Amino acid sequence: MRKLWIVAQREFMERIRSRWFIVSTVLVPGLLGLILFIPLYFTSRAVPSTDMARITILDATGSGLGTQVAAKLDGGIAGDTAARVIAVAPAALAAAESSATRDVISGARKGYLALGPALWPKPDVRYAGSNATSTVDMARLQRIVHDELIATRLRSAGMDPHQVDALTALDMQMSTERLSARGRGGSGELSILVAFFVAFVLYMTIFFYGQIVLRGVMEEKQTRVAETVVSSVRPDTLLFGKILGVGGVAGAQLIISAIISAIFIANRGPILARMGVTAPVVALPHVAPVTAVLLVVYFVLGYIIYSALFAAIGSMVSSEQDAQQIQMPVAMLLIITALFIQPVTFTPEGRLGEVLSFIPFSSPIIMPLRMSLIQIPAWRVALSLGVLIVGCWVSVWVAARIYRTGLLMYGKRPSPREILRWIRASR
Amino acid sequence: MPLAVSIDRISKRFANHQAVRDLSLQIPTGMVYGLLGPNGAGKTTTIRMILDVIEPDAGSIQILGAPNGQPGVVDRVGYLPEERGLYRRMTVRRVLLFLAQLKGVPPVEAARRIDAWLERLQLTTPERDWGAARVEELSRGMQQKVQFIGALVHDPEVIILDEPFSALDPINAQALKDIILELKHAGKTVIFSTHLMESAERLCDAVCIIAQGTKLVDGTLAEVRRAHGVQQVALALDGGARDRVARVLEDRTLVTRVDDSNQVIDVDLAPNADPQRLLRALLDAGAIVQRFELVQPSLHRVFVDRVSALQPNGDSMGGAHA
Repeated sequence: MRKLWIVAQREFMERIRSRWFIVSTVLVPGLLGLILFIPLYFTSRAVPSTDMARITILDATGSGLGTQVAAKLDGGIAGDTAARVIAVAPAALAAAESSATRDVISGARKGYLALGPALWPKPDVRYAGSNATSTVDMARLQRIVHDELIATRLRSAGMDPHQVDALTALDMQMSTERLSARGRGGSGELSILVAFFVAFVLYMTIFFYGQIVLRGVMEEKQTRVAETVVSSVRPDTLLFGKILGVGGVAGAQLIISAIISAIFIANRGPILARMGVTAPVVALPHVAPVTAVLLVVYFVLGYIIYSALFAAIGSMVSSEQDAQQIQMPVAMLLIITALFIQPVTFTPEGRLGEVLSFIPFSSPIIMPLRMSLIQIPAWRVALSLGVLIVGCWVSVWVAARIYRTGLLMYGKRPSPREILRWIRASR
Repeated sequence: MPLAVSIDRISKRFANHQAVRDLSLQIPTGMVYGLLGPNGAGKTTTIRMILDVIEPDAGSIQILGAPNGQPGVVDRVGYLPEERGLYRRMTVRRVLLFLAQLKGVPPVEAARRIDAWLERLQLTTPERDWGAARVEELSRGMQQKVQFIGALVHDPEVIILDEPFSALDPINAQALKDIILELKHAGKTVIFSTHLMESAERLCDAVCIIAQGTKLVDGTLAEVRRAHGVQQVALALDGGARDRVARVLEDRTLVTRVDDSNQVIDVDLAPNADPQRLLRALLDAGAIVQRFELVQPSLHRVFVDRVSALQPNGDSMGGAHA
């Protein structure tokens, strides 16, 4: 026990002292800041561009709809670069469109909006342009056309134009808020963002520190210091000490990052204001203490299961190239799990998420993701944790057996059969 | 005398070869003990088993009277592995402090001893304190010195050195030899493996020769030579009575082989023949004896004879890996 502590302490202290620790500790909150602040910044800055004033409107409705839309598009922003409205006869629309297409391709105009002759029952509205992928602009255009169509219909039904303007002047934006058994908190979108972020940080941290354990074991083996050390401590102790020490570094780093992030988040209003964002401060999703504790438990177990396997791989190989190849199966388990983060984020209640929560290699990432999105019955969490703990135990046991043989074995890379023999053999 | 290390019939088999076979050794305290054998004889495997790094398939090992698996027992042993290496990016003092703490030395005491050792091995000089440097900044020779300190800093009672003289420069080899003798005089037991017979012959009180994982012979140097069975006499005679002398030397109850090199006649005595009887017979024959010296076979000869007897084709290299 004392020796385990000394080994872990060495791992911890040597890594805390290094330059990369300081750099990466600052980097993680920086990344968090980027992920949280940058989208807010851009959303608030996402005023429609003046591009929409540089389009051609081909109006075949004969009702002046095109002029109405152009007036709204100008919106007082674009000044003299008003959209050019061309009234065309229904029969000439196709020809006008192909000439407008040439204008867009030559770069003279941004795009063209074709308003087909029919207003009833289904209006024929099409847009083509080089800015068709700009969602903000397209949404605005669609809304304007939609509003003006309704106004035009109302007018053609004999309603007073002033009355039409007053009734259709509607500026509505729906606010979304997440509701769970724990109460309300945060916007729905933001809780997806946070859940996604949690899963991503878990994935990155487990992968990153797993790699550090792998490199650490390889270094001990390649420099042959392992032989000196295992004459004083059992290989198992050296392995667990390393996992513990590197885990401590991960913990320290996450705690420092969390504190810095918390300071940022607590002061996000003033910080955003300084960046010139006047958007109202969004309430962050509320995380229950139980969820927070479970998140830590999943992280710790996930780190243990993977770092043990990475350590076993480090002990098997004698060269960098071998390490790259042999670690692929373990790395793939993590990468495949990461690929499932997105689908599970959007359907946290689905079968996929359910299944992945009971596989020890994916549950440390998928379960916290789902837990921060939906309410999961306690017995399912317990079952998932149980499977994960068994998985950890098996992985550590196997890793320890490979490690103690591999550490003092040099020369060619072991074959899978040899590794099986190592697992079965005694010391 | 209490035993520093007692090995009782250990065996170890790896995947495709028997590394150690039914090996028993008794190493008394206060000795310099040589573990001799060709490459691949099982020396390193034996040492690793003594240190409880690997477990024997059968048999047991005691260090200073306690089973080597018992907690704290290997802390009384210092070990210098054949393949040396340290944490390259750590500073020398931190590496040594780590190794000392693993052996149970309290940090303050460890720091004091480390400084004393660094000074003694000239790693702290007025110009530069290498203790504060990273291991990777040190020359190979300096790293070897640091490694000695690592093996000795916890003041072990038993010191095991695996091929300590290989890859050592002459100055460090001399320093190591001095340290070994100093340790012996301080009552420590030093066990080292080597395939260099010259250094073993000069340093060891007792030796064991192993090959192919089996013990061929062990005991004090004198015992090993005696057990080799061949006693030699270097003889020099001053003229006359050569016929009668020749008859004495043909007596097969006394002499098995004569190698006359003109100035010196090398005589192999017959097994159990008393050299005094040979001397008397020569004098009775009227020889004028100028020199009559009992010569012990060299360790080198014992080693070569023993190991090549095991491998009749004369291939003393062995085929297996340590």
